Amino acid sequence: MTGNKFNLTNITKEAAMIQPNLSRRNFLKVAGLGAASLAGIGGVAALKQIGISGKPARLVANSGPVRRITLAFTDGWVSMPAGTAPFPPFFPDAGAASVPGGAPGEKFTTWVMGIRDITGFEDRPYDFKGMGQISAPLIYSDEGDQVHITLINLGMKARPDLFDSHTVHWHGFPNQIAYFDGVPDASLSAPPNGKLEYEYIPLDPGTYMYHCHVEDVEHVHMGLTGLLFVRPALNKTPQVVDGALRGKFAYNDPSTWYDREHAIFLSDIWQHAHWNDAHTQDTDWTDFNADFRLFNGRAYPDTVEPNNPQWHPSDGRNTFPAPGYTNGRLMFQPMTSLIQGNAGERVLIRLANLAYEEHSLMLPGLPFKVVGRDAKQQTAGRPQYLPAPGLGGRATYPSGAQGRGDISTMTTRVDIGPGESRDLIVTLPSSVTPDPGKPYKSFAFYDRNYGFNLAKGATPANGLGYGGMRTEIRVYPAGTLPPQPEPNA
Amino acid sequence: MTKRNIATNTDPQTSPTAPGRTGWRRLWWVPMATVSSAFALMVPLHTTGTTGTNTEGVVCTSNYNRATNTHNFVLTAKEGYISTPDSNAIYMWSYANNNGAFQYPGPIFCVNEGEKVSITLQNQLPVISSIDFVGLTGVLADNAPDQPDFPTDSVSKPAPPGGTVTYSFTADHAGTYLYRSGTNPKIQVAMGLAGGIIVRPAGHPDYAYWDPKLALTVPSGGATVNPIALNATVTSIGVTPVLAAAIAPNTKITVGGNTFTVTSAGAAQGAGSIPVVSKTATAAAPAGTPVTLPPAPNPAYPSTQFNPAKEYVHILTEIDPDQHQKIEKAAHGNDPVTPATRADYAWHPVPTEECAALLALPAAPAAGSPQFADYQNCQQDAGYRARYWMINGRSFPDTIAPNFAAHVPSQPYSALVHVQPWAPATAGKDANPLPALIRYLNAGPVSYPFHPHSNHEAVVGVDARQQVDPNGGPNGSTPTDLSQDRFGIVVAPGQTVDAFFVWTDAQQWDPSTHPVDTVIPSQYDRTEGPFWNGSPYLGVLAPLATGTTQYNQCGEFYHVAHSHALFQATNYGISGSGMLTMVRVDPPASIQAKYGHGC
Repeated sequence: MTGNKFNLTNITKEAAMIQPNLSRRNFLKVAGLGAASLAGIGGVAALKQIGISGKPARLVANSGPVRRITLAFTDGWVSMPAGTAPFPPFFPDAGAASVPGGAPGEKFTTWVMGIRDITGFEDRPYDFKGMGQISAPLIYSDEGDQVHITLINLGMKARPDLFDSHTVHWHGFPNQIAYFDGVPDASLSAPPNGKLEYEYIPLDPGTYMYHCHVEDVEHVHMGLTGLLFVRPALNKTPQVVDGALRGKFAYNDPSTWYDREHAIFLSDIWQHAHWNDAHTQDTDWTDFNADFRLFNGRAYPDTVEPNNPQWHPSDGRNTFPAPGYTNGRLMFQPMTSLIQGNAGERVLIRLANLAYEEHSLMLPGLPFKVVGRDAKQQTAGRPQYLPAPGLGGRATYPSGAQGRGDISTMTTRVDIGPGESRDLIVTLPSSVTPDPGKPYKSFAFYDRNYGFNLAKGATPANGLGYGGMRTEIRVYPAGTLPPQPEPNA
Repeated sequence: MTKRNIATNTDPQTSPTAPGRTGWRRLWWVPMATVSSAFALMVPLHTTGTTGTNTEGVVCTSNYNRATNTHNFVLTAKEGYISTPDSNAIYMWSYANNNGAFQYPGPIFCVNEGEKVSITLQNQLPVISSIDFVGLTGVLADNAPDQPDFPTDSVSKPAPPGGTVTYSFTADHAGTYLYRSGTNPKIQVAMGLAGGIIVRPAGHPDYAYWDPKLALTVPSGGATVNPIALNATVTSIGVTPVLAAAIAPNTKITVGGNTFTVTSAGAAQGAGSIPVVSKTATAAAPAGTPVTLPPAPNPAYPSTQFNPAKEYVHILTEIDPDQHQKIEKAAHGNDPVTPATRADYAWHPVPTEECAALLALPAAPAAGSPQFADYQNCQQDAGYRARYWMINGRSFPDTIAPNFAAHVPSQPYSALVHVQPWAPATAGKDANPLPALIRYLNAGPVSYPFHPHSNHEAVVGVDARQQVDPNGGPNGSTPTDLSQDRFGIVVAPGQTVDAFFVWTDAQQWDPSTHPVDTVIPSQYDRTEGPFWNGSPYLGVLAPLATGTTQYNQCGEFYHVAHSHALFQATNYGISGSGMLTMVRVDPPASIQAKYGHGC
């Protein structure tokens, strides 16, 4: 489906197919030569640039493997906690789909827009129409990887009248170009049944988020949102820190090592707006008033339910019905927010907020260190803002000067506004006394503003409304849990 | 999917043609149909002193009197109208510069550290008013220490309707300051009474901060003096050539065997003499004696140098048009409120439809239900609901129209940020080593989580304080940079934030040397945006599909920057507007030349 004068990308693809082991450097040479000879763009100049300096060293040195991900954008149905008092007609939505494999009459509660990872299923994407999930598949890569994300707009099963386009906006990606930034006014977007491919070479580790930027107030709120993060190059050179060999770091700073990592994505649901969208009604977004606040697309107590067994952080597919999955109503909210670790371990919690409210997250009893904010290291030695120290202005610090200081903070509470991210390192206590009747000691991690939500099945007697940004950190005696195979496991 | 084009909240009382409107002049305005009018005419304001006529970047108003070392300003608090992109006209209170036209927000005053500032409030509002100079100290009101006046709910000395009060202070610390109404601020600030003050380091207009402890200034080159006779009374020292840079107040300078102190006014760049505190010369100095200045600034101090041609101010505010309409009716006597409530202009609760329905229920909703929370909000918040969110008094797309755009005559300030890629000083004609500076001021009632696309911004100053630890490092004596790079600039109410911005061509996408390795959909398989250059590459301009408007000039990039509480990036609920502006990144000169598209 290439149709304009920049379709030289096809040439590079063919070159890559012919020589699957082509190195990044040679690959780019081929790309450059192809462009020079076939597209007729300044051939001599192009050759000269490649011959003398090749690609900018920074890119070549950092370019890692190519990761290709295909994301389907569509609609779907999700479930807010069972036992929530109804507020008709908005909740539960009487038009909701039935839960596959659920109890007789069991239905979802809330219409959403959602994203599915259909990598490997590109031949039959429409199997996933109407099966979007919230939050969107967790995506992560290593610094310097080539990340290719192909968006496929499946349209919406419950709203066939809509013709909304979609984009991917990698929120916070430094020095992005307009073409890959996903803002429809300033670039292009994928209409229904259209495809759009993005290429990212992330050079800055940290926690980011991604979302559709078309009619953003609606598409973001409806659920076309998720978390992504970039692991630092330092992970490739394990080293002894604090008396042991460490291979996992939040940033390119050895002091940011950790044993386990959990990503928690913050969003919210204003049930009125979801109902309006599902029922062809208009919404005045300035009336925004969230009903449910979510961790990873779920409201407490669903947040501590396990991952959908089919779910994998980089492979968010599930089939229908999900074999062995006992809680079908969370089928399209596959990600747990339960944080677990062994005594004495360090846990990295990655937070990203695409809700429309600022949240104040509390972790009573477990002090933590905020080592990252907006995908930037906060500890000493953090990178400078201007790109090339010593080259322009007075960007550099003279020898002997301290440079950028440590702005990490120890705390038991962190606030996070809409569109922000944080990286927290929690050092679990070195020994724990398990809670009565449990093999672990539990700590609550919750939103101070909106965390006083109803427990499952409770009557709404406390008068504090719905909520849901709450989960648990469960600390097991040392050696209980095996090493974490993947994030959020 | 919500593509609504209806101008909401139309009411005969706020219609420009409403009968019975007297007492002020309805300003002429034109609804913005397309952003092509972004290149409209420029209309200078009526001012005393000087007001910039630049079409982009901060518009500075200054009125400096060297003899008194004082800027003299008059702010006329008055009523007027602004227009929103959905064709609403909103009644406002704001500050005109002197006796100039109504404008929103108020003027941005630019002064230098060490200078005195006198601001006379000329109150043409129907209510008592005052000005709160947030963050400035030692403020005098009518030459006496300024004090709150609690009976009138004023944090500063107020002026009655028709009256005046003169505030004065010394701008003793560089940074960004907010000024706003200090009387009944919940109403008056929301009605629009706010503006900004920029205090620049003396002699260093290209720095956001310049700490006097570490960085007294140095004129470049040697200066020479006229002869100084022994025992002569010296009040100024003639220098030749004129000063290549300014000298900060209180700087100690030596001439021959004499040490003089520069007066509190300092010496300006280009001056032919240095004013000093009067002193009897203890040694003669013939003509040609060098003037010796203190050593150069501590180079370890983190630099806040920016490109002075790329300085921007973003004043963030919001508007509940129902409340403004209510005040308008009260101010003009055509509202059935009692004289008592009209007198103090308290918020008259205007329940939203939702609130009205909830408050009319026979019984309060069940505790614990969302209706209950809404019900409580309606009871407590009087139904206040912002519907418009602005940068510099404009909503997108007006935000990217130039300063003084003719179609928004009472909203003179643009919010477009316009840069070229960062490039080192060694990059020849592409050199662009210094960052842009964006000064954020929150004059609204809530925090705004501002999200600049395209790159992080480095927060170098907060509340007129550089983000630095002067006593950092292992020895406790090394200045340590505490600036922070963020993609979320959360600005709290009343706060100011100074942020650096650069965009760097870090990935070096290029059609020949680093082509994007993606399938580019044909024009039949994509939705195109009007600001797009039609290609992935900076400087490469390709046509959009027939019939698609294209605003792009030279292959430049447009990136949005907006509140990420996304209902704030709307005009009364319509997405992609409101508190949203754009960052325009032009291709560097070499790329413009390569592709033949000049910017």
